[in-house]
Amino acid sequence: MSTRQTYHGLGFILLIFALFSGNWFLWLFGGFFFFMSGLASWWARNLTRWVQVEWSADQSRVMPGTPITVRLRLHNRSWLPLPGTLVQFSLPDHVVPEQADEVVERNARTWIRFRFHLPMRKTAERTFVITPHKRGVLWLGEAQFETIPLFGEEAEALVLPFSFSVLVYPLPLPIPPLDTGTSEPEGSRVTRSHPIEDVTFLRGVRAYSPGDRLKHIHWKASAKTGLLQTRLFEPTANPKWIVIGHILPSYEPVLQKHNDAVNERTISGLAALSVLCRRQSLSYELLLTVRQRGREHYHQTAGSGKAHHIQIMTHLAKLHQYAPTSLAAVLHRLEQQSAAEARIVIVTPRLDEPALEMIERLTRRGHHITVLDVSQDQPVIRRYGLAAANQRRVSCR
Amino acid sequence: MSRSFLIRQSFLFWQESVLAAVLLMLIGWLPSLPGSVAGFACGATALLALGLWLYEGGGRHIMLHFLLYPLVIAAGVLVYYLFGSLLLAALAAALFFWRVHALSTLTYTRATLQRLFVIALCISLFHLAILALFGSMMKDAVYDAKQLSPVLVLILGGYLLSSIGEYLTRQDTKGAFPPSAYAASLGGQLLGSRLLLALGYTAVTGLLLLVLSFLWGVAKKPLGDALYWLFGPALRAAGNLIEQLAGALGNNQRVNDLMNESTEATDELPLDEMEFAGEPLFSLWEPYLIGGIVVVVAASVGWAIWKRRRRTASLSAADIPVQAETALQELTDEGANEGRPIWNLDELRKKTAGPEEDPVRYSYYRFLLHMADAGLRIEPFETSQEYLRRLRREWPHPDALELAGRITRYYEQYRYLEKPLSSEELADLRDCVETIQKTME
Repeated sequence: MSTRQTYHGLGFILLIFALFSGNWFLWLFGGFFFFMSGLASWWARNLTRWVQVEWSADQSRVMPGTPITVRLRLHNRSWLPLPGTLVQFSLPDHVVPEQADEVVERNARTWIRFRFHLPMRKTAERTFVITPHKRGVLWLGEAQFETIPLFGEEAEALVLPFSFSVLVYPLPLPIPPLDTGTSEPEGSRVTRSHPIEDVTFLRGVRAYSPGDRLKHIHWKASAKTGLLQTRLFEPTANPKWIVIGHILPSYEPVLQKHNDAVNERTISGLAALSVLCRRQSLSYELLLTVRQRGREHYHQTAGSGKAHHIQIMTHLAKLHQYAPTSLAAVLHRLEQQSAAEARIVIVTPRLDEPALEMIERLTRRGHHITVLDVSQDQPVIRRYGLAAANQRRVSCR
Repeated sequence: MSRSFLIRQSFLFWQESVLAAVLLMLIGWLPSLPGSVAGFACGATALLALGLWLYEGGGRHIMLHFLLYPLVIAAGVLVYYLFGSLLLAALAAALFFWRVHALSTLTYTRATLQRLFVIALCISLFHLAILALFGSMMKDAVYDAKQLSPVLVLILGGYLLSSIGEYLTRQDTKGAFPPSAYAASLGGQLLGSRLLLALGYTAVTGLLLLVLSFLWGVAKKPLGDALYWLFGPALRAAGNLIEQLAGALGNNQRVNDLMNESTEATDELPLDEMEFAGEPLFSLWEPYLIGGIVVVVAASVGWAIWKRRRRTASLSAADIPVQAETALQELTDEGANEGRPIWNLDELRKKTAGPEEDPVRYSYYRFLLHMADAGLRIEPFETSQEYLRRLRREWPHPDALELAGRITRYYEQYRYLEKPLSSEELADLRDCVETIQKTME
């Protein structure tokens, strides 16, 4: 029997006593029980109008292991004091809190509890530190709130809404030094065209010849001259990279194997490559073997600079609930579309037969392929560039 | 033992002391006065708290623990001094010792306090009813039922305060103890707000009751008159009926004898004298009418509650999906073929695939070839029936037309009705085609 029912029962008995005796005190006393339960339910119903939680953090995008200082404020706009108020919320279990009143681990969540003794029309403030240790988005939408009841009823847990999110980037994996290709002098190869062209800078146009990329046709110039014209670009010493991330299914029923740890290493390897490219100002595009908006793979177009780096790191941080696809299919698409002699870096924990075959075909077409094997804790680099190595070179490396 | 644990247990001690005080008050060993109840409850709470502190060894000194036993003896002596009974003193000492032991390890919740409060309040109400109906149970004291009102307020107030204390000393909500000035301010706000709410309720409800009383005073006279006008004739008729009955029975000597024997010792006034006393029958019946109305209202409220609960129960029962029971029956041959698939793949595979291997279609094909040679080629948009109708219009060979009709019918039967031809029908079809070919050559 709840307190409300108990109070109603006692009040009813007292009112019957009052009816028979005609005693004013019993009328008042019996009515007081109904008053208590009615006022308590009204108070619990309207409490969220007067009590608010405010949350502010000093950082919104962090690397794993970075402490975030959070300021939690509880406003009591009512005319009743709130002693013994409990505010609690849960974060993933990789988050380590400090300076909280109580920390409870339950159901793979870390529950952080704060207790306030809040007078009427006051604001209480607490500062604490949380340190996330895994990539992802920490999102909080509500805090559970429990305060003293008015007249000895059950304490009712209320939900106080607020909004807070922190993006945790993936931790870059320590990778062995990569040959970025920038040390190769211009003109070291016997070729009719520049090996690398920067599409950002247009040099001019020339008449179209079969084999030119359709993407590089200058349609305006073609319309003016009546003949197809191909755009010419400035040569650049910085090669464009194509980084491919091979994401495995989270669980493979045939192998009875969970791949979450391996996928995390792959994502960390991709983050390390992104950081490397950012430091050396290399232009690169990213392909992931996961479905994205109806396509068979995720494709981030080529770019360099801070915005591109942040975009890719953000996508890697948020990469959850993916539908993996085949690595060989992505490589096959590259065979059709990529320019000649591209530098391809594949971050993979496992290379199957079709993928190896596709790598062989790509190397035969002159692409430089580097495989970053992340199947072990220490990543290993394997290079596939036999066809390119056999080419005649003007200068030695 | 921490200080907060001792404080938390003290709230339970208070509720148990109040319950003991109310029980003692009921059996007449404690005056039904708020001062005595409060004094007993405070004293017992302090004694129990002190006993608990000593039992737990205070600051972990074993000597303090041994002081518990003199305290128990002192409690027994105190009871003996108060009540003058050795048996009671021994019982009280034993009870005190037992409660100290039991409550030292007892972890309780808000529901425990509420249960004790409800029991104490119900005993007090029972006591109130006894006081109102029969008077005090103490020998040399006279108490009025109104004197219990402060006791009821004390019980409720004590419960509300102890529930607040219970919440604040709970494991979940027991925060760091605030500074003393801050704590005093917060406690003042807490108690003041509750007191203000209670006083506000008392003021508003008292005013409301006053207004209602005034309205009742105004409306009582016309309402009484209206009720008397409504029920007066019926009551008068009933009175007359009773008088007639009494008169008729008064003439009976045996009834008179019986009534005289049974009412000899009583000195009640006869009915006609009551009538002369001027007290109306309605005022005599008033308490019974009120009681009846209350009973009817209570019964209807109870009926409504019962109906509502029953409806909820029936709804919840309906929400539970009924578990399907499996009924076993004898297997019959009826409808054995009804479950066959529409497309029987085995039969479809057995069917011949092309027109060369299909004798019916091949025969029709031969028939069409022959007709094309005769200059009547079938059009691509024509069905077999349309083609037959055109033949009937344009081909002046009635015998051959009859054969063409049979060929078309066999073909359609095979092709569209999906009825395979029997060997005789197939032979007839071939004969028809050959006959046409021969006759037209």
